[in-house]
Amino acid sequence: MGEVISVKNLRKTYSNGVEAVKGINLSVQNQLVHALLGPNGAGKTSTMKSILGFIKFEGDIKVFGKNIDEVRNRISFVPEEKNFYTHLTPKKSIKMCKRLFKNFNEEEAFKLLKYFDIPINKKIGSFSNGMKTSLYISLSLAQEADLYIFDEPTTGLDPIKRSDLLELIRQKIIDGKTVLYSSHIIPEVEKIADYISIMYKGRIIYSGFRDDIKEKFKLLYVPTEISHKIGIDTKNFFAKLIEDEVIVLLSNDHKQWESLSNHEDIEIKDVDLEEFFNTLIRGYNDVF
Amino acid sequence: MFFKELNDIKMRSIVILLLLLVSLAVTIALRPYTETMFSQMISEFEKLPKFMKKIIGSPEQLTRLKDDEYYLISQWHGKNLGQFLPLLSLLIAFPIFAKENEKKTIYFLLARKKRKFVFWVKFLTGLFVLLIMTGGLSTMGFVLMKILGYSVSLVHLLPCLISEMVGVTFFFSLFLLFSIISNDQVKPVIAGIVILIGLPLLSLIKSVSFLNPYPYILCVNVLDKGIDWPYTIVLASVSLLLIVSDYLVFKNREF
Repeated sequence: MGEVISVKNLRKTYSNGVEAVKGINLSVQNQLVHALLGPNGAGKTSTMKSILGFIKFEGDIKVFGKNIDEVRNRISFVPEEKNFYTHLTPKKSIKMCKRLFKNFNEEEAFKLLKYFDIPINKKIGSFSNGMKTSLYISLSLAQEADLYIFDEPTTGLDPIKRSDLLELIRQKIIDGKTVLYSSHIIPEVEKIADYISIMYKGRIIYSGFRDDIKEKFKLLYVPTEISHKIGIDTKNFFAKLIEDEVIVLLSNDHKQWESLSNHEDIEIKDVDLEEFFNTLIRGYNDVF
Repeated sequence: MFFKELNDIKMRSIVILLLLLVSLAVTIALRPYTETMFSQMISEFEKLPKFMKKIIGSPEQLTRLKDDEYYLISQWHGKNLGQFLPLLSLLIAFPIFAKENEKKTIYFLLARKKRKFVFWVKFLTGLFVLLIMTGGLSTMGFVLMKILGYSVSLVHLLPCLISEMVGVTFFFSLFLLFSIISNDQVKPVIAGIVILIGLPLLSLIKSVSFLNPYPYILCVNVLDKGIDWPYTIVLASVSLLLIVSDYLVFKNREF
């Protein structure tokens, strides 16, 4: 596995003083779907924009070991706002892309438009949001790139098309490509991602393989009373969330699980991505 | 990408071109009647109201309208084409970047192409279309009058062409800057209109009247003095500076 994107100590502060990204490190490996998961305003789009060179930033970013401008012909990008040229028809858009990009596969584009049921001779301006998104995605996937960057790609798509798109993205990985994918929709990320980086308030607060979450983490539900009684030091846990008379602790320490499993009032549960994400985000302020 | 840009400009250019062709046709069609019309005016000049006198100018100028060459330069280059050229520059320039910024389609290009490439293709396509239209319309006035048997010579066409082309390049580079920095299409249009209205007002103040490039673009002095080389060089240099600024602003802009 090679490194496709290397982000070191990335910081982005906008002119209005908003610190969108606060010194993150990110490594996107070849032939994986690397998902940037986080709530709105976490810094996902700013990170992607920095990688693509749309905004100025502090830190070091390399794509395929080079400056982004040297490898743009190997990249395909789907932005959050999937607006294409409204005066064109999909057919004309394909022609335009064919002229613009050497690596554009015209045949594949027509195939994808058919797959998404997009009329090819209608003006894009008359399309619904979902159709516009499907078109943008089709054109981007028809580009034979080595790295695909998707920023919230499924916004506006119905559940069937969403599922179809996720399959198409997975297919890119089988074909040896790399995907950087941002979303705040957990089931989507759970379905598609190999590797997950969770962003919150401009920081990456967790990075790891998706399957590691299930294997390495447990949720411990400790009644507050018991917690005080046995003197649990919550600082030693990965995340802590205080609910009604119960403290929810996220732990990746086998010893902690074993020592606390003896208490019959303490419940230890396997964790899925949604619970992991919620505990991490909602418990963030308590931990960091 | 050149074809994409050309396609984006196509509709606007055709509409403007048609309007200007109509204006050219009307200007030339009126030629046979101007002589009688203005002769009458000269004879009744003193009886005309004050504001009309101001609009018409001096009776000497009216007399000169008998000359086909003077008619072509003053009525086509001066009163019609020349007046439209700054507006034409604005209409071509303002959406080039602003529309892509507003619709966010700029991401599609910038993700896949270098900024340098995107800028120069957009800039050169816009300028190319503008210069072709300017050159074409400027020349067409001469050609049509010649075909219709009027006494016009090539001598003054080149100075007019140079003045108009340098002028539109200046306005295009200036309006393009507004287009680059704007996130919508309204602001560059408003800024452009302010410039178009504001520049002629500078003529009212003698010390800064040289900042108004309208007389230069309208070929006001071409017939008597030929091309104004110092002004040409200065305006071309300012245009060059603006083009460099356009590029640097675009290169460093955040999207």
